[in-house]
Amino acid sequence: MSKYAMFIDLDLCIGCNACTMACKAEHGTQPGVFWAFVLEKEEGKQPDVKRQFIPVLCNHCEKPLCEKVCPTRATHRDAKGIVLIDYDKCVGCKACISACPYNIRTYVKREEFYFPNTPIPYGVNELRGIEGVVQKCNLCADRLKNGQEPACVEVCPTSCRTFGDLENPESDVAKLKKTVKSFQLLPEMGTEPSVYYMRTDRKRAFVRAK
Amino acid sequence: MATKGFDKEAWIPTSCNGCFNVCAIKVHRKDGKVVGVKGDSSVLSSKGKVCGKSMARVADLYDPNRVTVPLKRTNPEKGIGVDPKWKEISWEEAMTTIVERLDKVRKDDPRKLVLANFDLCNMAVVSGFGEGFGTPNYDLYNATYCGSGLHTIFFLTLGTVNSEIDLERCNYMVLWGAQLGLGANNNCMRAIDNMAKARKRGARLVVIDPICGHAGAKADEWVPILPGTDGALALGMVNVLLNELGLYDAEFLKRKTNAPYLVRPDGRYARDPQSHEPLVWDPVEKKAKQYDAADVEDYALAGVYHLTDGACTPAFELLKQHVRKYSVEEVSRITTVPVDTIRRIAREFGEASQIGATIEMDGQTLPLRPAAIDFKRGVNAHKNGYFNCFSLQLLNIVVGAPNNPGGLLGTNAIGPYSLWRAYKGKDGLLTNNHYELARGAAFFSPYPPKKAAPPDSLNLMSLFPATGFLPAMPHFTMHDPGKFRLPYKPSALIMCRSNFIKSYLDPRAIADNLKKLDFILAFARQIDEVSEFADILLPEAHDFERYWTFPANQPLGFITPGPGKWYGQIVQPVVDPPPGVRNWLDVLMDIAERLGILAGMNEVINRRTGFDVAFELGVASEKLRPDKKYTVEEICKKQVEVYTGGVPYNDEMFRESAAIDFYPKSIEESFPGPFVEGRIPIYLEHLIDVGEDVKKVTKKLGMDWWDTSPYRPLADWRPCPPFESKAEGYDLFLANSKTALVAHSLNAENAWIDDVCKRHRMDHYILVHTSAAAKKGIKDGDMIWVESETEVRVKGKARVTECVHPKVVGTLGNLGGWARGKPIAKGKGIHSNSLIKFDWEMVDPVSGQIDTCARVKIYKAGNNNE
Ligand code: SF4
Ligand code: SF4
Repeated sequence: MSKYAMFIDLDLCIGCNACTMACKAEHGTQPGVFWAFVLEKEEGKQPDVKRQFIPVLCNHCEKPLCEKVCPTRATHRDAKGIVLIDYDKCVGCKACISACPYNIRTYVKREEFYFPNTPIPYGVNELRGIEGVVQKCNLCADRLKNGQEPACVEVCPTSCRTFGDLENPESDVAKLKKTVKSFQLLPEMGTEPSVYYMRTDRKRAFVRAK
Repeated sequence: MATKGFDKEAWIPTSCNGCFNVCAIKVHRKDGKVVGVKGDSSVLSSKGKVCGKSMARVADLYDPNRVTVPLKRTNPEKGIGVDPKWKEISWEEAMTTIVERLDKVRKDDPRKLVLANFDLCNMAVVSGFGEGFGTPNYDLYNATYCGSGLHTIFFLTLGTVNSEIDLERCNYMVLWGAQLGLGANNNCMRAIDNMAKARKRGARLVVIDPICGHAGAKADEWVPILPGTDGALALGMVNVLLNELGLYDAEFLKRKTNAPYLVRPDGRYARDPQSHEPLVWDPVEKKAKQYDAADVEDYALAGVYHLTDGACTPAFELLKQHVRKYSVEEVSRITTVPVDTIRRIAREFGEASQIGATIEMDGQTLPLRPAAIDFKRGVNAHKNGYFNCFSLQLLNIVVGAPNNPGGLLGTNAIGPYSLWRAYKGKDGLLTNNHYELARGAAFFSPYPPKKAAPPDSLNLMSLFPATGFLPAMPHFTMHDPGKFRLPYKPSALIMCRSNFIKSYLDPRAIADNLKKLDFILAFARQIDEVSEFADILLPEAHDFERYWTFPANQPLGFITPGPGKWYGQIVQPVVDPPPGVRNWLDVLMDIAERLGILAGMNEVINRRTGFDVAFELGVASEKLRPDKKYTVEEICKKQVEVYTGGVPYNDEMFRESAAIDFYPKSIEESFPGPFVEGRIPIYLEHLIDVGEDVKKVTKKLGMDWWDTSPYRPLADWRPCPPFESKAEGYDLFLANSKTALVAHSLNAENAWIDDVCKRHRMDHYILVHTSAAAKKGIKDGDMIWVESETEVRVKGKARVTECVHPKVVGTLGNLGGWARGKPIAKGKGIHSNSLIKFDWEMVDPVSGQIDTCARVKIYKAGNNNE
């Protein structure tokens, strides 16, 4: 058994969107469709204004509301905790889109290309011809099978994403879960996401003058 | 014909050119197509990471808007928005026409040819073509991107072209109009990694910038400042350190700068009557001595000393008194930064620098100064840019940060094999050979200064004897050659990857310049704004389809300073270009052959690539022969031999990694501060003579309007011309910031980048502060006009935010394209350079820096799209 989890350090993320682009390149998502992206939030007034980048993806919830409402069982949680969509079974009813509190699912009515009639070649063709369905992040299931990390984790230049198996006590994520204060998005929904957010506990190399 | 082996699936190591940074990458080829990009984990420049721009390069490669055939303009009328009415022609027709036209220019007066390009690492070839042809005008390019003031000041104070904070050791990092390690700026990927680690380690990040960009967002403290007032703030902080706190590194100032040099009442150094070398005062022996005399016991930094030359004062004392006029209160009024903040940041910076601290490295004890201020275009792109940069650098200097561990490092003052060198020059001051090596990229050695002379080149270098970088002048001289007494009028232009109509000031002025030329040849991947003016347009290969000269990462700018190793990166093709598309440099060499200028060209390439030296040393088997036409591939492979000290290129060298290692950096190469002998100036004595010299020459030329008043030895702040404007109602200032995804205007014409930016909260918007919006009745998301004093206006969507200075209208990236050949970029975001005045009053006569400030007003766009 394993239970995948991802920790994202919001203090380190610089909003560069390498992850957004790596995801697009990895899966070949069509225009306007993003399985991973970066939200931005602004808080406060000068001089205490904060501009915050929040990378998001499917939370691969332990209790996914999308799975619950899916009439065809296209959306399902696999043995490793990945929430997947079986595109053969999906009928595009969009019930899951309404049910998911995180707004990370997209209904793809027709296959579209970035350039008319000239598809950009991608490394994989997993989405070629997939239309009339709801799409979302699959945690790079194929890469995981090959022993690679998800594309967004591998590419992140600040290394703010940590990925691993919570069931393995030696894994970085298990250690982070134990030692670092973290939170999940919308815990009140009871979805129990596998994506955790944290802020680095910064040591003080510099002590501020009074 | 397909290149052998290009049908095989592989990850090919090469260097990215999604921006100027050339990070090492691996490109995935499958079925003869590029299907993916990743970082090359074997090379320090990327350590396996890449940015979003790089990942998205696949979308550039397969953009159907790419030019793939030679085109000829059939519409003689030229202008912004005018359809050139392209007609496809054969390569032979194109080449015949080009050679015929250029030959005519050459016979008439070769100086009339101008070359514009941004192929930074291939300047040897481009300058070779220029010199072979006989024109000095081969370095016009993206004029406002970096800086005449900035690079010159780095030359004088760091002994090189660029700067970076020593992120591995620094505890107090100030990014000032710069975003090092935040997705923009030099050595992009390595700096992001180092910055993330520094922040995790607890280093404090202070960002001083009118816009809270990526850097501001990650700062512990973001200090909004009024654009163009940076120099005033810096001098105010110097005042706090010197006069309020007495916090400075006296040892460093005495031994590593010209602070102790005695200055006469007329502002010039007191000199030894025999040797004519500058004098210092030895307070122990109570006598004046030559600055480098072995028996100087101590150096006086204060006091007045009566020599035969009159009452002489150490330069440091002059600086100390001079900055008193930048009182914190006055500076606060100018910059809008609160008095307490100025004092606190000055103190924090001074204390964090740990004056006196040392660190053991490599068996040596070196000074440790873990505080540094890094600055780039935001500080520089003003009329006072040279002195703004100098003022900021004074802060680094007074605490001893330059080129020391923890401080601000020059990008490799001492380069591999001692090819790049910083050393002691005239009057004991720091100088180097870098700018001569980088010649062809608009760089000239600014110290010791040259003699002023009547201009012969479009960049007017002979009237700017003290500057190091002049990319921006040709637009002025092309506009009005007579005004500058240029003995000829340019008539032809070759351009490649330099969209200067978008990256310069008011495009209307540039359009006028372009219209006046008889012949324009453009190499283009996309028909961008400037290519729309071409007479002949040739398709250019994507960098995944071509060789570059080697190394792609010139250590002058593209190897992170500090400890590490020297290595050279290759740019090699991954796939074939579309049929008929060629490497523009190869085409240029074909043109050279047909023009009969190969000998001159190859001679310059021999000099600039180091073939000459290597051949003499017996490292290279041969240099370029004068009569032979080479390909870029051949030159690249020959250079590998030079850089490896004689190991001939072989196909295995770059199969696994984009780089070959030369050797680990020595401690001197990592931290040249303690080792290089040249002193850093805090007092620019040489400017006095240069100013007088320029005055004489310009007067003789009848150019009395040429202002030489800024030629002064001490740093001052002067307001940007728009500050003094009397026009009513223009109550806001314009400022621009880069984003991680759009570093150059070309990034905007990328389908993936565009798709991401479209969804972003800021990227395509005009940033308006909450208070300004309230005053004008503007709501978030409203369409608004931004109108400048020049009566140009641009329209876009307002983002009402606190992430911009209350008096500033913020724009991001170089957006707002209008070229019909760039349908993705067209109309996205706004083009802020359009709002900037093209006028000589915007030019700094010392450095040639142009001001990018503009006064603007904003108002809601009406319903009828008005
Ligand atoms: S790649 Fe990393 S740093 Fe960049 S936006 Fe994504 S999570 Fe943030
Ligand atoms: S920073 Fe520039 S060179 Fe480096 S990976 Fe990104 S686009 Fe390429």
